[in-house]
Amino acid sequence: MVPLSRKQGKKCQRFRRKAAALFGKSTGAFFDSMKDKEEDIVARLHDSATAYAAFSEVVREYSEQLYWQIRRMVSDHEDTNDLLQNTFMKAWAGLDSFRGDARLSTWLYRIAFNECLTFLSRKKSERLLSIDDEETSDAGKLESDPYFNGDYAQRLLQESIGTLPARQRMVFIMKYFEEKKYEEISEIVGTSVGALKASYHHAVRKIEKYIEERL
Amino acid sequence: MKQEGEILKRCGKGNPFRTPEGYFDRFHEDLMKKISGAADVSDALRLSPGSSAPRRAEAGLSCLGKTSFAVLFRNVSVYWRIAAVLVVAVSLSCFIYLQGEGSKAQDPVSYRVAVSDDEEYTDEEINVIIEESCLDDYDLYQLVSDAK
Repeated sequence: MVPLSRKQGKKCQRFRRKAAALFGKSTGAFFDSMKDKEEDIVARLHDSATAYAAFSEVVREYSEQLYWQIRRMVSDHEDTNDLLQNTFMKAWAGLDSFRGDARLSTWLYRIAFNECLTFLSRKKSERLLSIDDEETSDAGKLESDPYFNGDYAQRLLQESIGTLPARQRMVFIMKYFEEKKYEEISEIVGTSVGALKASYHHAVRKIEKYIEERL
Repeated sequence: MKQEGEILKRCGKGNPFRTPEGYFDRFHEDLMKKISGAADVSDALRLSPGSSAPRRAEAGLSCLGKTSFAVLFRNVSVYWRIAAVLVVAVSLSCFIYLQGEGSKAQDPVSYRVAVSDDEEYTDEEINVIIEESCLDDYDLYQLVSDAK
């Protein structure tokens, strides 16, 4: 994706306003309606009569995007499935403690993030290998993974992401693949925006170096 | 976006992973089944109807298993269970109370006096009985004359 020029950026903004108007709402009202929708779901989640149905909607809405986030963190489908289930089970169990201070998606991402951290640290302690050996074992896994269809460059990218520390990995994935803003990542990870920018910058350098050495 | 330009050029942002077919639909179904199972078990633990739903998955109670009683217990709402317990408690109390009243009805004072006509008491026994009755001579006279 080539960065847009200023003129192109303004054209893009005009197009977005037109697109929002096509839905019969103004730009501001469009995003307000999305916010209202989330507030409505949160209200229904706190009512025991409608909680189950509301949670079902939440699972449908967020399971795919959380899945891909976790998958890029841990690579393996089965591990991702387990972590995703744990994330939603914990969200269900902790519904009473969710007061709507943060967005629902942010709250779910935070749970998923903590689950991934726990999983990766447990995996690391279980392995009796050095850092270099970790890289080799991850590379072998991707090659034999039936649910991985990427080319060599994509495999290298995924392997290099696997060499990053867990937090840095999460930051890189959210910024590079999902194009989240630093402010949003900060809410999820609990780190300042400045630290996130530095972390992302270092992650990019490490990945570029890893790929250059092997391509 | 400039700093990751090199990575973008070589690797792009395409998704190299895939999932088994129908995975997300199955995932939703399986997860909601687990959650409804966990919610039913936690309902069984809750005793007060006014409390907010804890909705905690009680893994230990999964040992309730799939017996017919457990299934029935899980499926009936907690309010109906409490109502059933109250009905049983009230019925039992009424039964015990009525039993007590019935035994008293079978043993009126006149019946006791009629039975005791054939028995002989000593003066000392009579004194003890009269003292314990807490009645004076006039009341006793009335009682005896009514009984005859």
